[in-house]
Amino acid sequence: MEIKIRKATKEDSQFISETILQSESTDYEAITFSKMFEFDKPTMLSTFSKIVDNETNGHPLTFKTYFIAELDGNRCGALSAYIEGENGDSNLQMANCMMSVIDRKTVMKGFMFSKKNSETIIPKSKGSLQIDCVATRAEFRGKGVFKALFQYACEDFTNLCPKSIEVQVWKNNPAIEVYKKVGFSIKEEYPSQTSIGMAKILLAKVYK
Amino acid sequence: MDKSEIYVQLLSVFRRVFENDSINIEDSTTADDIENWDSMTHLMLITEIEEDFSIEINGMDIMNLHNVGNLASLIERKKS
Repeated sequence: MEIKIRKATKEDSQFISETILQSESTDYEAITFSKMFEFDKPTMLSTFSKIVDNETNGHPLTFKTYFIAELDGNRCGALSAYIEGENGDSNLQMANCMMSVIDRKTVMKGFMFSKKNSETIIPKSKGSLQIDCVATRAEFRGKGVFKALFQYACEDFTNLCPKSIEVQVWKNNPAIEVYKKVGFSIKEEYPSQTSIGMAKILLAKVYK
Repeated sequence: MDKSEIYVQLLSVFRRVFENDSINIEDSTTADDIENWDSMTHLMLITEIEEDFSIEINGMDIMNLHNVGNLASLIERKKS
C-alpha cells in the first residue's frame, strides 16, 4: 500500500477540520480551539470548516497550507506547513480568520483563555518552515503517514530555502519521539507557570 | 473622508489601544513595528476602528489586512 501525498484543495476543508479536531481531542493538547471557544463538537466542526475554507496563506487556518495523505484512495492524514512571516505574522493572520467567522465576543473569550497561558505562546522564527496541525486518522496510525507527509512538505518548500524547520508540542505528547526520528531535536522548553501546568516544547531541525 | 483625515483619526485609535502616545504609523507599518501588537490587541484595534469610524469590518475584508496601509485603504473604501 502506497501513501499518496497531495496539496489540499477547498474540498478538503471539512476533512482538515475533522482531522484537526480529532487530534485535539487527545489528552496531549492543553490549549485547543474547542477549549478556547467552548463550542460543542458539531458547532466547532462547522465553524472550523468555515474558517479553513479561505485562500490566504502563511498560517494553519487555511486549506492552502495543508498537505493531505491518502491510502488506498482514503484520506488518512493532514499536515500544515508554511513559512513564518511569509504574509505577515501568522498569529495575527489566524486572528483575522477567526474574526471573519466567529463573533467578536466569542473570539475575545478565546483569546483571553490563550492569554492566561501566554507563557506557552512560543515565538516562531521568521523565515522558518513551521509544521503545524499534524494529524493522522486513528485507524491509519503506525503506517508511516506522518513521515510521508513531512517529507513531501519539506521538499515542496525547497525553492523558498527556509533556514530551519520548527514544530511546537506539549511536553507529554508522545509525538516528540516521532519528530526526533525525522531529525528534530529539542531546542527549548517553556515551563508553564499557570494552572495549565504543562510545559511546551520547541523542536527544531536544520532544513536540508 | 480623505487619507490624511483617516490617518489622523487612525493614529489616535492606535495610541489609545496600545496605550502609547509616541506611536507613529505609516502605510508600511506592521505588527513587527509596534510593541504588544498581538492577537488580543489586534482584535481590540479592529473593534475600536469599527466603532470610531462607524464601519463594519468582516469576512474577506479582514483577511487582507497585512499592514496599516491596507487598513487605511479599507476604511477609505468603507467611508466613500
